[in-house]
Parts: sequence; structure tokens; C-alpha cells
Amino acid sequence: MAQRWLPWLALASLPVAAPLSALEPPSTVARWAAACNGCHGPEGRGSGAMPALRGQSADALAAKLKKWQEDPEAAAATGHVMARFSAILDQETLRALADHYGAAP
Amino acid sequence: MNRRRFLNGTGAALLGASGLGRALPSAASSRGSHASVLILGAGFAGASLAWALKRWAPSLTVTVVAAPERYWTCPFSNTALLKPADLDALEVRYNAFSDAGAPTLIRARVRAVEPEHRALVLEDGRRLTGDKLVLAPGIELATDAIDGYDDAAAARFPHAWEAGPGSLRLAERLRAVPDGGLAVMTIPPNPYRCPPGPYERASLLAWWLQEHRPRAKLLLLDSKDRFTKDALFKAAWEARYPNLEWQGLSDGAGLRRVDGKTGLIETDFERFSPDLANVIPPQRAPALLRRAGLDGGQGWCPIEPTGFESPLAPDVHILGDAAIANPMPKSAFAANSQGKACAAALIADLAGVPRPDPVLLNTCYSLVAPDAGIAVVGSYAVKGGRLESLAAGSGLSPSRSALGESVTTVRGAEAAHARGWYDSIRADAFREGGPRP
Repeated sequence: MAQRWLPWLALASLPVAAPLSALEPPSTVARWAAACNGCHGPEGRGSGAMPALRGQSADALAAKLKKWQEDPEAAAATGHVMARFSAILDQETLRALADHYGAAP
Repeated sequence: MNRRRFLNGTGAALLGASGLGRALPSAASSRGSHASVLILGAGFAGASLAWALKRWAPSLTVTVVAAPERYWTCPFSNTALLKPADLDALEVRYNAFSDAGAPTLIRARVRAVEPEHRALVLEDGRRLTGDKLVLAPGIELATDAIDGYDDAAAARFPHAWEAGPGSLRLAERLRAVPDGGLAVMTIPPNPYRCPPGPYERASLLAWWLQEHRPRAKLLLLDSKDRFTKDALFKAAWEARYPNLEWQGLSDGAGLRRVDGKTGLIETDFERFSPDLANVIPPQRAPALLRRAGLDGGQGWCPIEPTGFESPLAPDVHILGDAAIANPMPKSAFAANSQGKACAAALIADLAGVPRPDPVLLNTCYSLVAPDAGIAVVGSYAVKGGRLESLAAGSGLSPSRSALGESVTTVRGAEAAHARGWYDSIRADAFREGGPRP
């Protein structure tokens, strides 16, 4: 037990450059965007046939996601991946994601 | 009192009490002024985690320990069997880790994991610790589970299940198959890295044989009866590859014994002397983790799904292929997704706030021919403490019958998506680009 506490006593004794209390978990939209980037690349920059999200207008992105949600059958064929992911987005996150990429430089 | 509660309470308060700090002599160390996360493994899970942590919490000290050996991505390594020159493009060089603000990368072998101290003992004797220890070491090939498997078998039946020189050896052996010859793949029981990988490989080998050895045959000996995307794969094989035959466990195809000296492959029912045998061994979590007791004797490591923390070791988290994260597959995408979800959970733990709901997704693209792809999609949520698939967010590429004449166009588009996906996830996980095959 003593061994377990020692580093923490030491930690308490130091000038704190970046206190742990300053740590803040990423927002919902940040965590979702990170997931989107798994296919669409860093900052949604796209690659080859995988479309860039950054640079599209926020409204256009939101409209696409909503269309997939409302009519997943129309998204069959090559749109089936996005139809599935859109299906689990709530409206607030959907809009926030569209704004996130739409607003990115 | 566990350490998280300590951080939530007095610990966080003490950190703000700078007066105390000034009163005592400072033994300055990064460990004192920052929280630290120590990561084993720089594959898709470990690297994604490290970069997500630096992005969302730049003040964290993030150290990644990865083996000094060269590393090639498993995704797209099946295409290197067709075009060996493409293997080069699959090597990850970790250049971005020397940028300012990058996680620290240490290339070293690890001798032991000490979960109780959140420590890694390196082969050179150095001992590293972190406030959080994350283990993402990938897989170990359980060659000892195959009767007769020895050095001769390893040389004669290259598995190429970790991309690299083995991929080139398998590509060479493929080219040595005579026209009219027999190639065999043995496919392990679940679970293993990249569930559709053997079937993508089979498709591409059959494609190559059809082009170059039109009278040769490819026989798949599978130690199970069902596999991921099986209806899509089988429909593609039926349409494209009369040279390919699949046999499942119920057909007697379970692997019983191999002999590297004679080249013999023996199943429950038959013996084969093929011109090429690609024996993909069963797999398990690496010995480092099993020796530390982190698999609980199961071969793979249990985790709880909100932060991928081991139920057997507080503040030790396990990601990627080594973890039991069912129903998530052992895929690069799942590892990337878990890395990011774990980053959010670690930051929450260190900040002493509740973990956010993890965003966990998966897409696995597979090529059924160089210009034809299929995909499986998965979305996951934590329900009642367990990871579950979300039905609405999961599914497969449409079937050939549903697509009708558009099948060529749609499969072609998904092959292009697969290549775009590879570039994207490669850049996302390792912060590097690089030309793709």
C-alpha cells in the first residue's frame, strides 16, 4: 500500500504544469468525428474513393445523413455502410457532426 | 480505496495545492507534473490510442513501446500475394512520432508485464510505468496447437498471417504451383485476427491461379462451418472461381496434423500432398499477457467495455486483437475505434469524471477479386455492462441476387472504397500517408 501511495505524494509535491483537473474528456461530437475519420481520414480529409467530409457544406452533409436515415433502401448498394452508421445517429449528433466537418477549414 | 477514487477526491484537491509543492524539494520528473499513459504496441490499436490521447489531452505524457522489428500492416497484405512489390507500401515507418507534440515511441522488446505496478520491463532491464497501462500487443500464433508443426512446417507452409517477409515467401510458393497443381489453405477456428481475411486471401489466390495456372485448384480446409460474409463470399466464388472448393468442419476439413518434411496435410477425413499449403494457425493473446495472468486462463484477455479495462487488473486496459471484445471482430478498424474510445475513457478516469459512452464502430472491406469488394458494418453499444451489436447499425453489402446486373459496378465501387479506407485509416492511426497498392 505504501508503495502505491508514494508516487502520488510525490506528485502532490511538485509544481503542476498541467494539473489533472484540467483534463477534459472529448465531447460527443469529437468522439463521433474521430470514429468517422476511421474511414474518411484525419480531419475527414478523404482519400481516393472515400469522400472528403471537410470542405462539404454543413447543410449538405446533414441532408445526406438524413436521407440515409429516412430511406436506407435507397442507400443500398454502395451507400449501405453509411446507411447503417447514419441509422444510429441521433438528430443532435447528426447536426453537430455536419457542423464539425462543415466548419473545418 | 482505489486510485481512481483517490484522484476523484483528495488527489485532485492536492494537485491544486501548489503551496505544498513549493515547500518541498522538487524531484522533477515528467511523472510528477503530468499524468502518464504507457502503451504496449504500435499497431492500429496502440497507435490510434496514442494519437487520440495527444489530440484530446496534449499535456498527458504518452509513451508507446513497440518491438524493434519492421512492421507491415495486415490490411491489404493479401494483395501483396498477387503483386509482391506492393508490400513496400504497407510498411509503417512511424515518421510522425518524431514530430513535436507526438507521443514518445520506444522501439524495444518487452520481457515482462507487471499489471500490479502498471509496468513494462524491457529486455534491456529498463522498467517503465504509467498511471495507466494499455496493452495492445496483437496476437500470438498458436503453432503448438497443430500436431506436427515444427520449423520445417513453418518454412514449408508459410502462414503470412503477420504481414512481411512471410507474405513474400507465400507469394513465391504460389508462383511455384504448377498448372494442374493443388493449393490448400487451412483456416483456423474462431476467434482469430481478421475474420474475413482467409476468405479474401482465398478469393485472390483463386483469381491469380485462374489467370496464371488455369488448371490448378485451390482447396479451403476450414475448421468451422460458418464464417463472416459467407453467403457473399460463396456467391462470388460460385460466379467467379470454379477452381475453388471450400470444405467446412462438418465435411471433415478440421486440421489434424501437418508434416513439414513430406508436405503432408491431414484432416479429420483425408490426407493431402499439395503443391502449396498456407496453414493459418489458431491464435491467442501473446504470452507476455498470458504470463501476467491477464487472460484469466482463457487464451484471450477479458475487458469491460466502457474503457477496455481488465477486470483482473485495475488501471490496466487491453485493446485490439488480444482482447475479448465480442461482438467486435479482431480487425484493424475495430482496433482503431477501440483506441479512440479508450483514449476518451482514460482521460475521464484521470480527470476523475465518468467515462463517456464509447463510440465503437467497425467496417471490414474484403476483396473478392482485385476489382471487386464487399463489406460488413458493425455498430456497438454497452448494455447491462456488456458490449452488444446495434442491429440498425450493422449489416452487409447487398447480395448478388439483390443487385442483379449492377453487381459489377457496386462491387467495383466497394473495391475502390476499400482502397480509400486503407489510405484513410493508415493516415489516421499512424499519422502518415504513403502510397497504397
